[in-house]
Amino acid sequence: MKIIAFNYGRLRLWLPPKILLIMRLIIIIMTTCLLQVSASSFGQQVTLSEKNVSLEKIFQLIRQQTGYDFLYDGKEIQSAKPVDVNFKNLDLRGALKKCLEDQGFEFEIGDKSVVVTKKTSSLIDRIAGALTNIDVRGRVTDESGNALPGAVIKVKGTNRSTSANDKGEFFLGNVDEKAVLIIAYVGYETREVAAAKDLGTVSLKLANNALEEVNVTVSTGYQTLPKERATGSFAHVDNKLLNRSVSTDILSRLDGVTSGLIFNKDANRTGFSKEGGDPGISIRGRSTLFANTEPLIILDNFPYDGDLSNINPNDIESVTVLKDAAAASIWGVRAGNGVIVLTSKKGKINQAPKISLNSNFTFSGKPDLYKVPQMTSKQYIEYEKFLFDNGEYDLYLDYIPTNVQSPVIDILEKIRKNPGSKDELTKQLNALGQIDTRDDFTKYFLRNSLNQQYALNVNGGSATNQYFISGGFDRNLLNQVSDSYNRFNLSANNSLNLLNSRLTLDANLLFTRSRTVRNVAPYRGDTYPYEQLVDQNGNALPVIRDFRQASKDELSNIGLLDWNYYPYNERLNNGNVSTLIDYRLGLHLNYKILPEILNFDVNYLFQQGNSEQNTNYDQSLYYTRLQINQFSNTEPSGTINYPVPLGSIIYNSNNKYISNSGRLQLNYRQQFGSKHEINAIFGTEIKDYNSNAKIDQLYGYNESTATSVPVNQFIDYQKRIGYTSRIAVNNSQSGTVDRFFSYFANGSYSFDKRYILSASARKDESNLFGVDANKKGVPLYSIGISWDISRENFYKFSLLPYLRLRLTDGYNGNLSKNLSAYTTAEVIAGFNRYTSPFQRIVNPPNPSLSWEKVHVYNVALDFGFKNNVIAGSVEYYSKKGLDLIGNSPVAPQTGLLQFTGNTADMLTKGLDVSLNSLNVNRKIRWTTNFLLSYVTDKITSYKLQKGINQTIVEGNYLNPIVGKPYSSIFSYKWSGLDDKGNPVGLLEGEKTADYAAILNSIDINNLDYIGTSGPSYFGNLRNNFEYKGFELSFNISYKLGYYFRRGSFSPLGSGGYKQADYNKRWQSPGDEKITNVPSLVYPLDPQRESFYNGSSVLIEKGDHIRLQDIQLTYTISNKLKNTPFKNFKIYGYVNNLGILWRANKLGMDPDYTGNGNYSIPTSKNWSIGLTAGF
Amino acid sequence: MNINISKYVLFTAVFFLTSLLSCKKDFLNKKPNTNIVIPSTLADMTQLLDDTNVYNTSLDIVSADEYLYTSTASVKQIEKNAYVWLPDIYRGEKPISDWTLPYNRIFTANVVLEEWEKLSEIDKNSVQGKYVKGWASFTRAFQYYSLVQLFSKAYDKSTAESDLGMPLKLSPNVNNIEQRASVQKTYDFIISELESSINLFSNAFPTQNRNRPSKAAALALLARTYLCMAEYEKALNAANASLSYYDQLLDYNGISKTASKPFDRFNVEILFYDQANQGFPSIFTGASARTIVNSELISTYDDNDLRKVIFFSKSGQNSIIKDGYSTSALPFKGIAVDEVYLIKAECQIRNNDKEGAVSTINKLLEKRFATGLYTPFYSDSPSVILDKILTERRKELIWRGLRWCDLKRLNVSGANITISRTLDGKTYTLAPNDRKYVLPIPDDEIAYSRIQQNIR
Repeated sequence: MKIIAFNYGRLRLWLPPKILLIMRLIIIIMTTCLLQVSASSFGQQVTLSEKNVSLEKIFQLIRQQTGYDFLYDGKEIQSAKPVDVNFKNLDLRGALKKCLEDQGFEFEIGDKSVVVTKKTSSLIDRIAGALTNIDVRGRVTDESGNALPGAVIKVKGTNRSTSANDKGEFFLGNVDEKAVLIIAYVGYETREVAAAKDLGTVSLKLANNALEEVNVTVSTGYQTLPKERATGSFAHVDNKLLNRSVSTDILSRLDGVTSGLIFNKDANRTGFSKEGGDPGISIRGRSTLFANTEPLIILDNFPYDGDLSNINPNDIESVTVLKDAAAASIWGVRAGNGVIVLTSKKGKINQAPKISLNSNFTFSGKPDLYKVPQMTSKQYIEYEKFLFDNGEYDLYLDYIPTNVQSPVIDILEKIRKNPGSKDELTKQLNALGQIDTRDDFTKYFLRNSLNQQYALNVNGGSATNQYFISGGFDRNLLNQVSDSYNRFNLSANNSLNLLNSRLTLDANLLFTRSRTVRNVAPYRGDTYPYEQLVDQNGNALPVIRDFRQASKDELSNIGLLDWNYYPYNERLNNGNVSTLIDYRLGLHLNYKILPEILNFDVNYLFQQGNSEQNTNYDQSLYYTRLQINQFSNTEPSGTINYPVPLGSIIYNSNNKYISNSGRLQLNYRQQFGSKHEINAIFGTEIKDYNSNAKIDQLYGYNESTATSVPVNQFIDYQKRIGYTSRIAVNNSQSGTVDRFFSYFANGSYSFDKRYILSASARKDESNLFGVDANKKGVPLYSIGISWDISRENFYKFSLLPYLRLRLTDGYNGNLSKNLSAYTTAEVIAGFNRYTSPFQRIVNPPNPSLSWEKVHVYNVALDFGFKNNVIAGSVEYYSKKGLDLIGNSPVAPQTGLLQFTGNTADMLTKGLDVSLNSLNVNRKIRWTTNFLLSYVTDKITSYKLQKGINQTIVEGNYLNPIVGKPYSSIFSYKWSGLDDKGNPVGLLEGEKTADYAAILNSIDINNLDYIGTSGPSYFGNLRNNFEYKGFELSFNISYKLGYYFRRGSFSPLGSGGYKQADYNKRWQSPGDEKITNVPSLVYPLDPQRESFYNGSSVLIEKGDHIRLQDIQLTYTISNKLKNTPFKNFKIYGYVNNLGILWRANKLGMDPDYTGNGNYSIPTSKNWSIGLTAGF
Repeated sequence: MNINISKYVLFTAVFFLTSLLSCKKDFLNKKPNTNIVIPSTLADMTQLLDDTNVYNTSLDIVSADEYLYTSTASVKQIEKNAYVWLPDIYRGEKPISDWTLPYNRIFTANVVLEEWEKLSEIDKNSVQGKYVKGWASFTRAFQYYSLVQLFSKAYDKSTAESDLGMPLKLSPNVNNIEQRASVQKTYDFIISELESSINLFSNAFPTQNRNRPSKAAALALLARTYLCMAEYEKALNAANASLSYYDQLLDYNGISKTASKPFDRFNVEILFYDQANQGFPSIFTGASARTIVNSELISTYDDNDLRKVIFFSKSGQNSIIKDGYSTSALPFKGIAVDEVYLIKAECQIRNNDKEGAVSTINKLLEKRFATGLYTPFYSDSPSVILDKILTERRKELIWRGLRWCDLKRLNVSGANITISRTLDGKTYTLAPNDRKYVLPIPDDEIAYSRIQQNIR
């Protein structure tokens, strides 16, 4: 038995005497109670001969010999000095006297127990103590003798400590001469030394902590806590890992190093809107259908309201990802998609100014346009001729002769009208067949990109303040010639300790200015594949756009501007510039009401951003010339009028936001005895976010005078070519306001570091729904427990010295900004037919509207094998999305088709495995990090079964099917081609080519369910090798268990020639045995197209393994003695290296193929850089 | 244990909360988006009714005999089915915009009427207040008129009390589901809504906002409704009253014969603007046209008839319909003065006013022929005059959806018109008063409200 007496020692410093008195009385009563039953003699004899053992050990030995139990305060006894004892056959009292002599402990012997308490020293004792005490001096350095300013020197067993000055020197007065000093410095191994008047130099060894995450503290945005004290699921990415990759933005640095986190590639995303669309980053899959899908991003204390690309990665110290309810529910209704907390760098107390510099260059080659499959120009001409011969263009050629026709159709029409010219014109066609626009585009419109990054920071501090000041500059020359991105960051924070360190005042500032120039539209291939952009002499050539060339030519001599479009001449125009300015100012005040126990925070944050996009369509640009020409008219006298005036057309859009956030928070932390600890925070928070968007369009703009000319937007003008139309003037203004008012609380109780119980709750109210609905809001809460099994006495498994189980359960919330509890109408942009503004009802009244809730369970096992050969965690979770915003059908006579409310549910389950192993730890050090995530989801309730099978195949995410994943791929059953090259499907088990019936079927059994378009398994394998100053690591990523739909042959598809399988198409009977690509038929049959493109034959497995990146660094540490550098590191990094293995046999990269489309793969990036510290 | 700590905690917490709670309610009442309106003012209601982009029915044009397919390659299944009057035209497809859009406008009108009741007496009695209420009533009348033409039998006095009409949804409450009222009740409702709006409207005519109803428009719709009910006397009175407020005709001599969009949106003939929904491309006009005009119909136009070139363009042997009064690819579904003249003329002859009828029809046709080349029509035979008027009605009101209700009502009064069509080599005919003149109610409506389906 081991009883711990109630500890009141810590309270002594801060509590008024009255309480102390009460407590002492309790102790005395307790003690006397025990003493009352002590009557027997204590005749047992004790023999001990031990050197340098702890008192606890002594007590244990005495207990063995006498059977007496010991009652004591574990913490006090542990902090006692070890003792040497050597005696034989002493009685218990004598033995205890010997052992506790000089230790300042008293004891009382009771019935079979001994109570040991700390001796209350009398005044004389204290004076005597002071006389024997000494003053200690010393200096702390690293192994090579460099001072470690700020190193902490603590007297063991007391609260006394000091820190080293900038020369590494320290002084501690009045220390017990037998005391032990603990000397610690972050990143170095902690040492204990015996106190002495002059300690001389104490050198600390670099800590070998690459593997074991020592002292990992995770941040929730409300508090930071050691990871071992958290019950929830946190993924922590430290500074070293963040800096492993090189990038302009911060979030991409989490790719491949964070478990449970997946970066959704554009080609496979089901949309890009914040509401409903696939987000760029998903944490543990998806748990909403149509509401917000994006994780919440916190910078330090508050959500970052600006553009995330503003954040300079060099200012970020670490990142914490909050994955389950216990971790994230403190963020309430915004935590449903997980939370990412960015923690910025800070200065350090008592540290001389430290300067560090980071600079790098990243190169990448021109994007490879040829990676997207397309028909050759020759094939496309052949295809156009096929359509032309079938009369596809006749209606337009006769009926609307001004309608734009491709150069090929133009030539074919000329041949038809004048067969005599056939030979010559055929030559022209052949010449066009030799041209591939991509050649010119690659040569003149693309370049190698170069990104430069420079970051410099200074940080340090004195005893009462700490500061961090940094500046960053990024200059990216992008792949399209004349496109660029520049960013300037300034950040500063300063923290002051006032009133004897009871008050801490923090101020921080973040400023970003960026400038983006985008002139060249990327190569989309939406016109003709055989356009030549530049002639042999380097002169710009016109291309055909908007109207038939002949109709433009007819108008070329009437005194108007040139009607032709010369892309080459416009590629260097700097007309499209976006500038963005963002400020973030934070004030934080912390006052310690009861130091170490109770303090409160006042946080205030102001953030403002202004982004302006100025598009100046100069008169020299085709866009402007066309507008001016189109609206112009010629009076009988010959005078030309310009309703769209000469001069530039200016298009300014301005987006502004201002956000104010405030928080009051009370933090409570107290230890009771040595084993009980309570931590709690509670507080309230308020937020007001306002945004404004404004668009102005000006005509006839003259840059030098900054004047413009008004246009009449209400007159129907007969255009030179085509219909009557009005001059579009886009002037609009709109604004949004988000307001939140929240209460929150979070607490944990831990017992003996073995058991931790945590709970948190939060209630949000917001203006989004209206106050009535909010009143019904349920607070979102979580509970969690953690059990450190390896701390149990019965735990004897020495091979696995660390084993911990965590369980959490709770609710996070999510919201959709598109809904309201009231009848709301929306003012529709623009005018109605008779130029009146109008509104439309967007939301019928829904008084029962509430937040979406996500019920999250998490079970986790953390473990570490002996010597950390393998350490890691396995986590299983399930997320039940409840009351999700979903559609349910209503009778159309109500005026609505469906009612949007809290009607749907879904279930997401998964597993996150994270393993770190230390494979070799000699001169060469080899470590491996392995991440595996499994995620699967299923719609469990959805009331609207919408539409025909075509809508399920083409947009399942809009038509969720109960029992299937959100991103299901359904396809039409395929049974090959018939002997005419027509695709054949299956309907009710029968082969059929009745495409309309297949598309319109409402029986889902007529479709194949293939799987999901998101990976079920994904993760990374990262190997690191260290040898002397070198470090090499490479990261292999994998995505498994999913499918994608590839594009094939679709004559009706956009960008007509962007198709892969034209030359594999069925051309003559028998081909059906060797190909699945249908024949080309006329008239084009859209339903046949839809069937083929949605059929199972075009679904491929997405599984693949990719070599994501390689990093090599060299750190110079020994040779820096006579240089100004404290540290110096050079590094190289290569990204996007390519696929190692893929399941599809077609050589396709599933990250750039999906939804029937192909995108241009990201080129390899090569980076080199250096960091230096002064 | 430690009472003093608790005191600190309590004090600080109370301080925290009270400092912020005081102004919370106002703080959270702020509108989340400037574009979002909780409609409560007359201006908001006007803007709700001013939404011209929720269109009218199309299936009446699809089902009538004005056009033919040359190819059905890009034709939707429903259009094909409706073209040949199959018993089940939707085959489970939903939603059907011909049902949903009218009810959507009725919903908006119901919202307006409900909000209108909450206005102050001053607002209610203001000119704009009365107008808005009348406008909402007119909207309901117009939409129920469109619905009843498609989804109910033609009005027949002898059976109207038992024939199934429309579910009359009179409140915006999503939870109130109505069963079908009788045809008689439906028409009675349309008439009472129109009468109430006529009483509320002033005599002014909104020439710049032809989507807004007026006394003239409401009377014209009343005339059209009575015509459907074969109440010729009442129809004539309403038509005359309408023309007394507004009777401008457009002289086609001033219209371009070559322009692809010959008409202007401020076209003086438009009494009330509306257009067909875009659910069915078969009926698109102008450059978007996918079908050809029934050649038999084309042959009825005189060569001096300007309509022949203004309404149609040639594509080889065939004629294609150009954009009409809607000035867009979606056909005009509103009310124009020419229709009121035709109603008037028909009612005149049906009431045996031969001279009146002849003079009315000549007044209209003069504006349709090239100047000086129109020979005024004359006949002494009531049947010849009626025939002439009905033929002109068909020629003038082409592609407006009116042909379908004409077929229905004329067959009820014994005209005995059979129409037939050929599709994929098979010929289909629609006999007079066939059940297939009543379209099926969309499947989703049946499924969710369990109202009675039409038997075809």
